[in-house]
Amino acid sequence: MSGQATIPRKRLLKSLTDFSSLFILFGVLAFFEVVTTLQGNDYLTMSNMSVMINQACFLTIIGISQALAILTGGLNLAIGSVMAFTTVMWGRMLVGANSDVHYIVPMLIIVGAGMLIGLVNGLLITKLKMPPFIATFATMYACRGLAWLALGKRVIYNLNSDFRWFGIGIVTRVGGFTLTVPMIITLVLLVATAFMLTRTNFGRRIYFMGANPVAAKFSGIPTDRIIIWVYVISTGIAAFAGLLYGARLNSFEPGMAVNAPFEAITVALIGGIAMSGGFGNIWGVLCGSIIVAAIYNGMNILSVPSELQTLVMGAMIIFAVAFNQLLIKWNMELRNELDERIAPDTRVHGVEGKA
Amino acid sequence: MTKILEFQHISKSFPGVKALDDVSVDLNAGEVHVIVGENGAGKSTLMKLLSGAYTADGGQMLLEGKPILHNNPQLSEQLGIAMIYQELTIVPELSVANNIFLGHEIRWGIFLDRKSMEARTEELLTSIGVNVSPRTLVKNLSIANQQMIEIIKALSKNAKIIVFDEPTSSLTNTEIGELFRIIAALKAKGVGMFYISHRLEEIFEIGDRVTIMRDGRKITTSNIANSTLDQIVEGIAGRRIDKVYTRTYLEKGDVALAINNLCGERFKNINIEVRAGEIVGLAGLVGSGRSEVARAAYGIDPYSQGEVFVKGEKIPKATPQRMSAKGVAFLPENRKREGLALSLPIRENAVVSALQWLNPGGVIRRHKERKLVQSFVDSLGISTPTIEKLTNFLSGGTQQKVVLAKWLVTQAHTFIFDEPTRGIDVGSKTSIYSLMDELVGRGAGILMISSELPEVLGMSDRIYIMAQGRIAGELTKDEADQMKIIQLAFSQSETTGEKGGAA
Repeated sequence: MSGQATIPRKRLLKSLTDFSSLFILFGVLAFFEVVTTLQGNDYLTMSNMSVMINQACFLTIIGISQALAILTGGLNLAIGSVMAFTTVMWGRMLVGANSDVHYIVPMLIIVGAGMLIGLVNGLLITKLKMPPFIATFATMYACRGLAWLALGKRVIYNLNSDFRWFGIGIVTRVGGFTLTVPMIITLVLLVATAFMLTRTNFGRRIYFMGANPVAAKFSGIPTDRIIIWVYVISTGIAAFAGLLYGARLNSFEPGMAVNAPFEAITVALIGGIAMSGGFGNIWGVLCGSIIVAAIYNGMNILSVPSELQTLVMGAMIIFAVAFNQLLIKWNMELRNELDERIAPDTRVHGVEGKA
Repeated sequence: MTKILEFQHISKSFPGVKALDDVSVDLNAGEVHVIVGENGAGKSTLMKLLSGAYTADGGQMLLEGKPILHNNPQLSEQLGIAMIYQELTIVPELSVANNIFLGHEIRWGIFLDRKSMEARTEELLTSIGVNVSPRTLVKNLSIANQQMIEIIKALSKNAKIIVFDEPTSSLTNTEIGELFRIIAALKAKGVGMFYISHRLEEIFEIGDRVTIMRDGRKITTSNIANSTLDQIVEGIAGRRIDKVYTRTYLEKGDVALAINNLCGERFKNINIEVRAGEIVGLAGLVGSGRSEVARAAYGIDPYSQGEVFVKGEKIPKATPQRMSAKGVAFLPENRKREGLALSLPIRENAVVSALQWLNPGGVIRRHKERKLVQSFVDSLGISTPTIEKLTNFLSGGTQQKVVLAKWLVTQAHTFIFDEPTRGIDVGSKTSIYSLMDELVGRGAGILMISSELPEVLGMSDRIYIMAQGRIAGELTKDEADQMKIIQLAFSQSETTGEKGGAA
């Protein structure tokens, strides 16, 4: 105990450790800013930052989808193939010429189909007691296979330009920064998810179940129902992400987004979502996505070969997870210590002091 | 006799509990040193220091006069210290010989030398007089024989010290006889043994010395030949025998929980009735099926037959969800694993079962939640500076109170306590007891499963005693005493006779 003077410092430290992935983000940005400047390139310009953030938005959406599954203590490997399968099945309705139906109709069908696949996954996990890894691993293959069956080697392209607005639309430009429609969509989705996770009964149960599934069952929480709903929502979001990818690329094809589930795991992990479930802040996913986008962007500017980029990403995951765990442990210890120390002034009427 | 091991002034603390306080104990070669005490007295902690699972805060351990420094499980094994726990650590699918040499196989080049291992196993088996083939798969052995394998495994590593932690809890009487015969053989070979047991009768049969522990302190060590059962019981219970329990007995109300003819894998034809305003004890040996009955009635484990009624209403197929919705609470024995989410604060743990009732709209009302949790923290005397404290950092007694708060928030009317005070220090025990008394005072019904006889006797209005998966008897608080309960708990069922060893 080094006396009273350290308490404010500890409090500051604790609030800093609350945002562990922000540290990594600043580190990454600073690193590339220095290196690119030394090479005479631009990195942290308004326009490049808007490119990075726009890129990050697509990652964030699949990251949210994945994070929801991970928070329950599960995993959703079907994200990428659901994106491909659902859009390939009903994407033809979004081709420019088919203007007899409003584009919102196929969009709803596609998201609905995603939710149905999520329902199947949820049922496999709860009713057939399959581990989430295996259930979604199987649907990953099944959906990819169906996508290839449906479209073969063809590609759906030349999409409805009104629909493409969701993927490439621009809201406004402010001093070199381009505010895009995907950014707005991502923000709305983030706020909605954050509200769901922290301010609703459903979200509370997700965290509790992820933190201790056995205690959740003993506490009378309807665990099966919650898992099913989480996979319905997670997979629905994945199908929606498929729409945004297609809108951006102006095409749907069966081989789309093969790496999406793994990219989604990457951003969730870097964002501080614990793989064991029940721990993590959904805003961390945004942070993780920007980190990943910033690294790829920086490496592209430095013309790092793509093989090396993949390697760097692997190293990054290891570093980020280790760093996050360290900070989380530190945060908990500080939190415990501070609770003890600030006890006399903050305790509320008549609580027994510590013996 | 030579002293092979000495604990000198050992201390060990855990958050909120002083588990060991200046404990000095020694062990001679060829001796069975029995350690007795209630749950939480510090016996297991002391042994875990020996096995290297924990590190002491103060004091030292001397092995043959030399201090053991930086103990860890590997080192302790190398030093010839072996542990036999009640949960066995053998691999059922492997043969006896393979199990015994698991992790230290005899090799011939890179290959396993099966012949030598089997020959050596044979030798060890004969040396303590066990008649099984080294090639038998362990899963085909009786529980008792599986335990022998553990002992032989220890011998194969030339163990000088063996710790038995409740070795007889899952054995039948004949099997216990067999174990004692082997322990006698080990004694003759000069092995020193610590023997932890709750079955006080058996320690007179095999023990040389007995150490009584209470609340993390050593009370006495004495020769068993000079001790009586009463002395030992008194030493274990100490001053607290009648001060701890607060009970106000009341007029009983209607039947709150009824278990009718419940049958499951490990119990048969169980009938239990709990009325409002009473505490019903469920006693019996470990493995008699007490917890299994309660867990099945709460829908945690399946049951094959029978019915569960809550306040006279039949519950179609009990699940924890249905039972909690009907106002029945379950406070599990293993709070950390089954009761709490340790990475979440008190506040979130306390409301998790009542979310629907607190926030019917699905959106959390944070102000209301905080006020409510604070009021329960105050009324239960949960000692914490804030309701945001993570439950991981609370002591056992405080954690139990948080689990209780969780159910009080749901306004439950019937409570199933499975070992309500296991692992809880004495001070908190008393306050858990008075909370239980308060609950029944307000018209709740309590079913209390407990291994601690003083607790059962001190708290219950009525006591059911289970033996081998049946209800062996029912006693009112006036009829019940320690002897009667123990007799019933050890009683054999007329129909099934001796329970077979292989499960």
